[in-house]
Order: sequence, then structure tokens, then C-alpha cells
Amino acid sequence: MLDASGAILRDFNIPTQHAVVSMGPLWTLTRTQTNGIGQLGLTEFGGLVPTFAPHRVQTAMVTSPERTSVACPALAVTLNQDVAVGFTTASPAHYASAYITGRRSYDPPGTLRPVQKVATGQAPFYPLSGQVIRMDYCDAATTPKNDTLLFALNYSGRFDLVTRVIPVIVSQNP
Amino acid sequence: MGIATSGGHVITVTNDRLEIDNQRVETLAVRACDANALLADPDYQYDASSQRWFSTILNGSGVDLAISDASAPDGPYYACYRLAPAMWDARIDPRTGFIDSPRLTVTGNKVAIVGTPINCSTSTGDCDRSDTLVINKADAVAGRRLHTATVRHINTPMRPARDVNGFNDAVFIVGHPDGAAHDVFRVGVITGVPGVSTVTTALGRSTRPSP
Repeated sequence: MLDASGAILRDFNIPTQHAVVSMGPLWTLTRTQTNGIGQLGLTEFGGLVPTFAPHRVQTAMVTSPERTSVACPALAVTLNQDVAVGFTTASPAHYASAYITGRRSYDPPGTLRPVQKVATGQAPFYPLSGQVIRMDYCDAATTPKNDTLLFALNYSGRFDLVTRVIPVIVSQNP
Repeated sequence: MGIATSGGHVITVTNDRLEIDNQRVETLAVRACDANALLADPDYQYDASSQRWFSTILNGSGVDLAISDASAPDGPYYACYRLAPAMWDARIDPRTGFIDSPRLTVTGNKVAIVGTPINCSTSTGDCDRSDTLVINKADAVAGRRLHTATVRHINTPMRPARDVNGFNDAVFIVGHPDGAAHDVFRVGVITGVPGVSTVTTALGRSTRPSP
């Protein structure tokens, strides 16, 4: 939920935000907030099939690029285990904006590529009186051809909180 | 908020608004059993194996499940299934309880909806932190009476893992046990099909990242 200043006050209080299983591995996205600074953890688990004996393979962390709170993270994965992570950040001095990061399957374990801003907040967001704006969760999807990851992310537009579809095209080249 | 794609089409849902291919089409009320109830927390998934769109939405206290009867995202849809909160947790107070933040996943033979029961009767104790309602997918696709089973996650708020391209029949779930550090996970698997075979759950040991 956003307050009148644009600061993210609260969203769903479950640390596990999103999970995807792609062929064998399971990827999950967790979020922590400390002193108003959000951090996301992307963790890969293996050992799910054919015998169920899950174990952690790697964890990569990303901190809010503006050192602000983080809300509404989501992840998408291709069958090749290329992963993208999308999220929204905001603070009283920072309008709600949307960001993307990710990793290719051949990147060093435990790493994510630099965060890119994909939608810049344009104004503080003022919920109408009595209106509850929930950001329980955002979402992402993988196209059947496994060449594009689609994110539905929030940012503050000029007049309202906006949901924008952000495509992440997975190139055949690094 | 949810997003799903069949490759040819993209659906996004936000609160009670549905958009197909980035064009506002309608309110989600047409997917709900009772369009007058408070709609929230929509989720959508395209299932490549059945070539159907599956949608869930919190409708007042329960969760509505709708399935398209073709691969076109704009329907028509089967008459929706009204899933009562007691299907997740029988202790929910029927007057004030509801299933918060239902999340949907569709596998080869199951539909699973993980939700957080809210407001259990004071005489029965606290609600589970999350529960999974498992549904026979063939029933849902055929539009017939649903066979269901419930899997309880008493002290662990779980999320279902969305299955890319429907590789698995099993439902995988992941979460953090209450009171555990954020780097301690519980990973689970749900197997079996309601009405066909026994639904069982296996939980992996809590897994902490190695130093």
C-alpha cells in the first residue's frame, strides 16, 4: 500500500513472494526490508525430480537501487534457466518506479546483472480517500517459445498508479 | 495482479480489471460468480497442455475459478466454480472469514490454489498460515463437479511455483516457516489427483544456504 507521500508502507507480509519451477529447478524470490531498504533474494533449488530431495543451488541478492523500500517483486524463468526479476521501489523522496534485473544461465552462480529502471515514477501517488491500493503481489510469465519474459509491474503515473507490461527479450547471444 | 500469455495473447489482471493484449476489455466481474461482491487478488494462467485459460479471483469470502472453453482469451468461459473458504480451512468463521491472496498454478493433471485463511473461529484456534486446495484438472476442464483435496501448511506461509510449460504433474510449493530466518526455506511437493489417486505431500528439510 502507498501513502500520500508515495512511500510504500506495507504489502503482503509473506517473505516468499514468487516461485517458478522450470523443468527441473525451482526458483523463488524472497524480500526483506531493513530500515526502509528493501532487498530481494533469488534462490535456485535443485533435486526436485525425479526423486524429491530439494537442496539449494545458489542465491543471488539485489538491494533497492535507490536504497528505498521494495514491493511487488516477480520473477520469470525460461526453460534454459535464464531468469529475470522485476520489482517496484518507492520512498517519500522517490516516486514509485519499476526495475528489472536478471541472470543468464551461464552467469557465475549467485550473481545478477545490473539493475535497469524500466518505468520512472512521474508523481506522488495519492490514493482516493478510503481507497485501499494493495500490492499483494505482481506477476510475470514466460512465452511458450521461451524467448520473452513478460512482467506486469507498477509505477506511479501522472494521475494514478499504473500497471505496465514490460517484455524482457531473451536473446540467443550473451 | 496477474499476467499470463499463450504466446498469441497476453492477459493482465489488476484488481477487478482485465486487459487482453494491452487493451482494456472488461471488468473481471464477468469471470466471477457474483459480480456484486468485492473482487480482488486476481490471478491468471494459460495452460498449454489443455489450451485453456484459468483464472481465480477473491470474491467476497470465497475464491472463484473460471476456465475458458477454448484457447481464445476472451472466452466464452465455463460457468465459474464458487470455492468456499471452508474448502481451505474448515475452521474459518463463515461470517467474517475469507481466503486472502489466492495464488493459482496449473500442472499436467492438477489445479492448485494456495491461499491464506483469515478469521478462524475463536473456539478452534488460529487459522493455518496457508493451505492449498488441490483440484482435479480434468474435472475443471470438462466443466463437471470438482474432486478436491486440501493440503494444510499449518505454520508456513507457502507460495505455489508456477510451472513453465507444464512440465510437471506435481505441484511444488515453497515458503518460510514462521519464526525461521528468511534464509531458511521449506520446499514441498504435492502429488496425486483428487478423485483418482491419493493426494500426498512431501516436505523437504528446511534448507539454509551454505556459507
